[in-house]
Amino acid sequence: MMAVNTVQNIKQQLAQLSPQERDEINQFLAQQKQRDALFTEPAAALTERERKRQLRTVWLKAHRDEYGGLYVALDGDRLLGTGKNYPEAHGAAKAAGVPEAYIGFVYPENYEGAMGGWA
Amino acid sequence: MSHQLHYNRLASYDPAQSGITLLVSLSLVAHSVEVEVKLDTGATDCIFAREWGEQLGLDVEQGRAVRIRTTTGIFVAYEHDVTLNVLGLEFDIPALFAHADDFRPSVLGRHGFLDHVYLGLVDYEGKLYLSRYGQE
Repeated sequence: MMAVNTVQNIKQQLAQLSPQERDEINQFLAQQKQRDALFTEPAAALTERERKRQLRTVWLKAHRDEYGGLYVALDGDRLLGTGKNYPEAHGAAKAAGVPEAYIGFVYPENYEGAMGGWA
Repeated sequence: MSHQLHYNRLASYDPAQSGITLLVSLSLVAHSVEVEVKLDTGATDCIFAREWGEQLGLDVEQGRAVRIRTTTGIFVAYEHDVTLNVLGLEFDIPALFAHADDFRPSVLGRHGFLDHVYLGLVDYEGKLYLSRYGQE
């Protein structure tokens, strides 16, 4: 644990920064928080996330022809609903009582995406 | 008539750089990589350099092949389910990893990112506002 004096010193230094410099600090802290979350997430939760990912991947492989071009709401391999767009599928997930469900676009056969290209 | 949107994330980016550049992370099982990406509202998908897929432990070619058209031709990328973290917001997405080694830069496009969020930009100030759709 960091000493109280050190925290106070950092706070005093932060108070002297410009708004733009504070934004940079905020971004840095947000990134640190992301990194910490990745490594402190309970192992059981991580496993559950990956288990659902695996179930979802198998389901998507099996049902791509049926749902290609649509958005699906999935809880593991349980289909909660579909939609022409994200809000529709999200609404279906909420209605099913799983607002944190996976919502994703199902790439149809012969899908062709586009991007402008970067120099 | 005025319109109001609320965001719960704010990022600063350098308006002097080419494109709107953000630092995001991709994760899968125990692997995580930090990736510099361009926000690309003209891209249909989130497409990443293959090295990031390989660093996540993926066998890139094992994903489903998807064709992407550009102004100069077509390239192939492979779909994999990964977790994208942008400003602390996590999304499990169908990410595409380019087949070619020299694909640059990685981009955040519609499927998997823009379709999941509310996004605001004040480019003069290099500010990007973000919220997950449905968390207003």
